[in-house]
Amino acid sequence: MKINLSKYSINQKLAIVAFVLGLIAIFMGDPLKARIASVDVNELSMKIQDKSSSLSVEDMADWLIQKKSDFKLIDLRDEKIFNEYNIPTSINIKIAGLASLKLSKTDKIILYSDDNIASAQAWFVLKSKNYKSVYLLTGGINEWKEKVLFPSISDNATSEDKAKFAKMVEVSKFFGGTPQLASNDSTGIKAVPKLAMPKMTGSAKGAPAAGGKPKREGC
Amino acid sequence: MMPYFKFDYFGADTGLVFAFIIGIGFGFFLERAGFGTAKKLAAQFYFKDLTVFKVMFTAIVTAMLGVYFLSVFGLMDITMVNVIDTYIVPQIVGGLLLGVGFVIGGYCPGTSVVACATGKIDGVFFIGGVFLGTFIYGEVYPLIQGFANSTPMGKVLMPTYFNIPYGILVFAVVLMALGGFAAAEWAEKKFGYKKPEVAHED
Amino acid sequence: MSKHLVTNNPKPYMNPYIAGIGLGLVLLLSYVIMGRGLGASGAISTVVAVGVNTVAPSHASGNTFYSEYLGDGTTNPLKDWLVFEVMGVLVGGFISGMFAGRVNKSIEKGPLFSNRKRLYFAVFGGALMGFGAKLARGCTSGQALTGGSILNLGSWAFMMCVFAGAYMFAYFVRRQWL
Repeated sequence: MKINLSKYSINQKLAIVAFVLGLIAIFMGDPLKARIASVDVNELSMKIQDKSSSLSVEDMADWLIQKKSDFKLIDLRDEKIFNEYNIPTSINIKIAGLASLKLSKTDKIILYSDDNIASAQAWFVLKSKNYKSVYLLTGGINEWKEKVLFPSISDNATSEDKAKFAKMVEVSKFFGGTPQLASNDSTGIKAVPKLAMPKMTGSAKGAPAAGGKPKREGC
Repeated sequence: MMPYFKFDYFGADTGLVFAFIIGIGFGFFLERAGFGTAKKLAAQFYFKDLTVFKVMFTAIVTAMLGVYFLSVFGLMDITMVNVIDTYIVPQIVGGLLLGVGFVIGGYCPGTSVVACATGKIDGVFFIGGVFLGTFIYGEVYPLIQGFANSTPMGKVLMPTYFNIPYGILVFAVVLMALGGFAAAEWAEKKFGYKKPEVAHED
Repeated sequence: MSKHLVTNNPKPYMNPYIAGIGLGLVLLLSYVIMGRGLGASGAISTVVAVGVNTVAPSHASGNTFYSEYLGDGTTNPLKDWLVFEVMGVLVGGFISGMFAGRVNKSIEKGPLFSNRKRLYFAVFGGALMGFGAKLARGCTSGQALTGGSILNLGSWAFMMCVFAGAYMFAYFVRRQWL
């Protein structure tokens, strides 16, 4: 069967193309559903190994000091301990609540918990739901306390360490912490979490406290 | 992976350059189609000249097919595309107001910009009106806030809402558009201007 | 009634289907590059919000509508995607019009309608549109075109209503156009 195209006007040709493409579309499947099944577990496992998906507590502190607001900080711990103390601007969501999380898939999300395990689990949940930039706060809340709120320095520290410590002292004060000066006592660090926690400022529940809403995107 | 911006191929500032370039393309084709003049736009509503319908639906079908095929071939993540939240009742009321405003004013916000660019005085006044209307909306917003934010449905696409496979809906829209075009050609012959103006450059 | 800035006669308009494909490809490009569609009224809202904020900052910050368009203060609200896009529309429209000999100072209306009345109508229609577009969260470009092509439920409902509203009211203003 030979079709002579020249006997059709340009409009008719366009109509035929549109019709054929539409017809093909019936058999091509659903782009909305196709996305859900495409989680590459291997790739995810590799990613969590390297540093690209984690964030150090020092960087986190820097971001907060600079009043960056282009990220969502999620605290995965129980509500009770969340209310005792949490990192400023964080919101409390349990792992079970992540499945129904309503954030833009491109939002920068930072996860923390008591340890790395819970946040790694949460990281997988979010990654498999196609969230693009999800990070783990290395060491979680404990490292935050140890390094940011109550930094300490040993007696035989090098001058380099001392310079770093001096900076952390400032950071620590910003977040209302107490730097621990030279302590030979190795139990000193263990006692740290018992120290008075800084008073929480602003509302940590529900809406993120950092700044106002970002500018609206659409019409 | 597309959309490039959402996968951090470039930053927001570079995005503004693309905004300007995309805008040029948008303005160019609006003007080419004849949307820079209110007479041609308004003629749509008297069945004299159905260019508005034809151009709009061809554009919708083209972009819809493009997005669909790029997505099913795995080149684009459709879930990353911005979707405006649906607030069904305010949108119906807004749509009706917009329609009435369209036939009174002769433009819509996008086409009035093109009208301005090509020296149409009524286009300039129209934009002034849009500023005024937006300002009035802003001023009365505290009063109508409740209504404006009523019946929220979130981000809903028709395939999900009607539970029809995306591909079938794409085909249905294509069929609807083609049927519409055939009807439009017929209507123009019957009610259209008896001027040779319809001679198009192909 | 209209004096041409360019001497040669205006060229005929493009085949609407070809123009439509062109427009559709621009929209598709916007999706591919930015992951968002086109718009127009949003840019005007930003300018209005900035204007109000300049004249009466406390008034603007107390109003959730304006503050949504002003953002959190970290960036200049005018450094906005839609604002730049609309500037492009202005340039693109002019380029096309220039090459086709369609740039001329004129008032578009039917022969039986006075200029003054036409301009009143333009302002009134524009105001209705500005108001309606905010209620509907977008105009013909932002909602109908953009949302229509990704099969957004609200956009299709909106589009039907725009056509319905215009056709229902067309009879009452026929003298302006015919």
